[in-house]
Amino acid sequence: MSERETTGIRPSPDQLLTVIQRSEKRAGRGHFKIFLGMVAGVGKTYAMLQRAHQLKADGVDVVVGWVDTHGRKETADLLKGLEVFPRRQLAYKDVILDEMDLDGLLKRHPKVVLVDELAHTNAPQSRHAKRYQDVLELLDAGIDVHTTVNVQHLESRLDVIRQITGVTVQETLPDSVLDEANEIVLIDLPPEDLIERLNEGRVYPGDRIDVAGRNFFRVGNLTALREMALRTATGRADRELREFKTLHGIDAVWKSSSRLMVAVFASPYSESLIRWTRQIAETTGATWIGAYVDTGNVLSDEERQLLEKNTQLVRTLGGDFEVIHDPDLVEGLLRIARQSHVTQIIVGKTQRGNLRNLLRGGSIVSKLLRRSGNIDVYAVATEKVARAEHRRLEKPGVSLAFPWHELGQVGVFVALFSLIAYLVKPFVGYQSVGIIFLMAVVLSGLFLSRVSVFMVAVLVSLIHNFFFIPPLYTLAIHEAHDVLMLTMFFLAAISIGHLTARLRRQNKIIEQREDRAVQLFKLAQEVSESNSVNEVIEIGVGALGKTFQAGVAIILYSEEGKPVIHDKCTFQPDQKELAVAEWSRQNARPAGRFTDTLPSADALYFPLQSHKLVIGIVGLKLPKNAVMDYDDRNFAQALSGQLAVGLDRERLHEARQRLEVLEQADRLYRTLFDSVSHELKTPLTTIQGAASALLSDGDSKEYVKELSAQIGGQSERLLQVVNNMLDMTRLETGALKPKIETCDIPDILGPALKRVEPLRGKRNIHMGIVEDIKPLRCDAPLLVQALGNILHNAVDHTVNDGTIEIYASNVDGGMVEIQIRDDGPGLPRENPNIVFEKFYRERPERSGGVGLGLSIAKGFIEAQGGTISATNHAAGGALFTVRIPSC
Amino acid sequence: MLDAGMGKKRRALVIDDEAALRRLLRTALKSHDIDVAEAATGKEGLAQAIAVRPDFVLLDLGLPDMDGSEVLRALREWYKLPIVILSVRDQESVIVSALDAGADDYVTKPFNLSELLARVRVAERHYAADKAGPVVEMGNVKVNLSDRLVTKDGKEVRLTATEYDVLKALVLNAGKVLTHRQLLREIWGPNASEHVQYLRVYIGHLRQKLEADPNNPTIIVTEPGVGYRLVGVPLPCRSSP
Repeated sequence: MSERETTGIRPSPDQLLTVIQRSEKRAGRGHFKIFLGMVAGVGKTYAMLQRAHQLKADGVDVVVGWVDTHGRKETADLLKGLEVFPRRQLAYKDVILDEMDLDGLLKRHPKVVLVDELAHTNAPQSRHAKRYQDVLELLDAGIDVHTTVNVQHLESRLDVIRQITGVTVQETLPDSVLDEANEIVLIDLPPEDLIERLNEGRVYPGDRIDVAGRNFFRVGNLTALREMALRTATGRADRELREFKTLHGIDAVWKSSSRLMVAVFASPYSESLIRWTRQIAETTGATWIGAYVDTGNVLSDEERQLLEKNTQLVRTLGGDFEVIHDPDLVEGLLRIARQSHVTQIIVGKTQRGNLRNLLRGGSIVSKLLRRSGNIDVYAVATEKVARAEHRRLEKPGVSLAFPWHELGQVGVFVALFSLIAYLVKPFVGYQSVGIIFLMAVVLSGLFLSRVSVFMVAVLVSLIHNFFFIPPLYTLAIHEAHDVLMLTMFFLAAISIGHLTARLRRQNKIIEQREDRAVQLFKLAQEVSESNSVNEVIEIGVGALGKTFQAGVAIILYSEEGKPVIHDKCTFQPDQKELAVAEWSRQNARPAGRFTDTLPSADALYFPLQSHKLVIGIVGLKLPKNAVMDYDDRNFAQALSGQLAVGLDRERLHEARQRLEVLEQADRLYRTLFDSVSHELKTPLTTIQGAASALLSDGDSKEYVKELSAQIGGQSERLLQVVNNMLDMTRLETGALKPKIETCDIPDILGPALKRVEPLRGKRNIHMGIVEDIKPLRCDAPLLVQALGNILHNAVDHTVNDGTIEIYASNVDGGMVEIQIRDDGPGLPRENPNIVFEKFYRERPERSGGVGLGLSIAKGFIEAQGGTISATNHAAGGALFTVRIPSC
Repeated sequence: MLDAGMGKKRRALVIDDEAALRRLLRTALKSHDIDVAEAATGKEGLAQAIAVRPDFVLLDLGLPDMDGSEVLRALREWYKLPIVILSVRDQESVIVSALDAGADDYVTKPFNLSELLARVRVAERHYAADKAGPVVEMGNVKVNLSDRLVTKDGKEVRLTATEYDVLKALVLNAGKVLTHRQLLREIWGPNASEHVQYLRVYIGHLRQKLEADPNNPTIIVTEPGVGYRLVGVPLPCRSSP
């Protein structure tokens, strides 16, 4: 340990944050339980199913999402009595493959799903490449998952397993998935017992176990695997203890505040180094990061792929990845180390390049050791196998395939220079002609690929020999100095050709980079100058399409979440492809081709994100044989990042404009509304006032009084209609802004009853209000008018000596319920709530009212957070139930 | 105008921008032997008030040139007689601020002429030296202000000190609408105007003790969104000469 951490017995903020994040991430998620075993056959599935039966007996909704019995009878028996969810069948190249039905399970949404073999690789047409991704999605949906996995499938154990058993495990599981588990159950069985079970045919029934299998299931192997499984489980228990102590402030045991950093290169060695680091970090409870220094060296395609792979591995294994630009590799590494408070640096100990190291003043390791100060440096011997493995895994170098299209150019070069040589030979002699041929090779290096340059070199040396070096017209050479000359010529030609070709290639990459930087800049500029969403999309489609030679679709989503594909897009995703885009949108992660999720899709989809908000999705449909590497993807995301910012800006801008238009319309509406209501009401007010004056004048004659009463009554009625229409307009245009205050029931009922007092006649009004009635939270004038309208309706539909009853009580949900019932003929039986419809009138033949009173009542009540419903009560007559929020 | 020898004829000032309404009020008030001066705008109204010195003012809140409350405040600087607001529906908050600014009462258009005159009379009584006597009767409830005694059907009703204060404030303004703020200020002083909740509770208690049906009050009635009004007190009738 270094001196750095002598102060570090307290948990650092980083560590606390990690623990808190982990527990936060778990909140709202399903419970994740893993049954861990050393190899197949220890009884993980059996244990999982047994547990499932217990759960089922307790009344828990358990569903078998995927369980493979491998023909084992005990396991098959245990499946009985459990709900086995039907599998999904996928046709892939004439074969029908069974897979777990993820969507079906998400829809079925049981409490617990059992999923066997977590490390399984899904069929090519599935949504996710790996089953564990399915499981994570189930967990995200809040479903508990019980699953099984063997320790050999863990990504970080890959090298060790290969060393122990000689088998390279194909199906791997990122260690970070194990970290997500809430609970790990270790299923242990002594190796001898397992071999006995194996021999009895209880693990692989029938004759399925072959020689390779037998070799695998040796006591030595099994013991090693068993130790690994035990250590994984104890390591996990250890971490839980640490987390518990961190959260509860028990800091005495915080010994390990070490942080490891593994130097990552574009090299096949890095892979095992990364795994090694992860393992050490896990067992010592340290945190770890991967670091890459971009020294400005141009990487070949192969190297870029390797770097991409290594970067991915660091992330899969749960490490952070830091990149820094520094021409000095060692300085760069140390800078990252200091910035990230690293205590130990891990580098590979390589065998090659000693000569170069000597020239550069020592190897990386020795330089690091010299300059690292108090940071520890570990030089780890990297496996030799790694290199061999990777050689095999890599596809044959694309550059070695013969470029047939350059054949013509090769011919032209050779012919041209042969002609020149033939013409000058008489003047300079056959030996100097060699320089001309050398020229041919050097120049071809500027135009042609490496293989063609080699071709040119071979051809011109043959021609030189055949036509120019004596004896002529044979390939034989007599003079020793001619042999030497030709050999030297050939070597010089090859190396110069190689160098020029490489130079050209590097140039091309640099040009490409520059080109991309310029493109990005141009795009940013164009986007900043654009004026509408459509323009931004057009710019984006153009830029992305040109860069990647791809069809581009930019998918935005309407407010209801429906995808909208802009018509300027150069490719139109179909329904199936849109589903991929939808996944990408919901998870804010890339999906489709070149990714782990739904890789069989035609196009790559990634989210357009601005301020963490997914604005839309970009779809890139690349040609069939295209590749997309780390740089390409970064560039595509950088481009779309600019687009997202532009789109977001335009969206906000358009929203603001819309709002302004609305506000203007609103203002206009208000002015109009006010003047219309004024113009309608003033004459009526005057008419009514005049009528009332005549009526109250003692001097008026009897018939004048009679007529005045008529005028007053009718204008009152007209005014009522006008008021109702205006109220309805206010409601429908959203101009109604309730002012909520606290009121008591009498504050509402008293004035509401007063409104119908003149119409009441001999009707009996009965009130039943509970003693402890709570005060209401309402807009008093609106509620009074609403209840007044309901009472008005009750009065209208009862006979003169009928009864109206009003009840009020406290109900659940913080509401007060007011019921108004009458003994009239009641409401339409099949749909009593129809009375709230606008212009509905029960007996249209009767004059009076336009059928708005109850609609307005409903609108006013709902505007202040209340509800209203209408029914017929048992004794006949209408029953209106109003609920208003209470204090 | 003043008719010498005919006793003092009352004068009203109507400030309303609607010519038809002014004409109606002029005719109607004249039949009750009240002279009417008219103004169509706020400024004109203020000038007329100084010129004619009206006995009461009827003020419309929706004037074209000035805010009704502004006119009201300007008038109240010197004018110490009744001002009754002519309002339209759904204007509760405007009414409240007008009342708080010094208006005596309000009527909502379309109004009944007798209702309007009743409001004016209540307000006038309030300004007159002979306020309500020491004993006020509202149906079966009797309040004796000099003895601090409240009875219902002849039996004494026990009130707490604050309940009595609330009732007294209402009785002293019988027939007049009182906004929450006015009541609070009268009972708890100028700084308590935010405690509407207390007031609601005391009004509730008073209703329980005084009203025949506390859920459908007929003595202390609520003017939704505006305030409370004590009703049931017979108005002094002013017979026209």
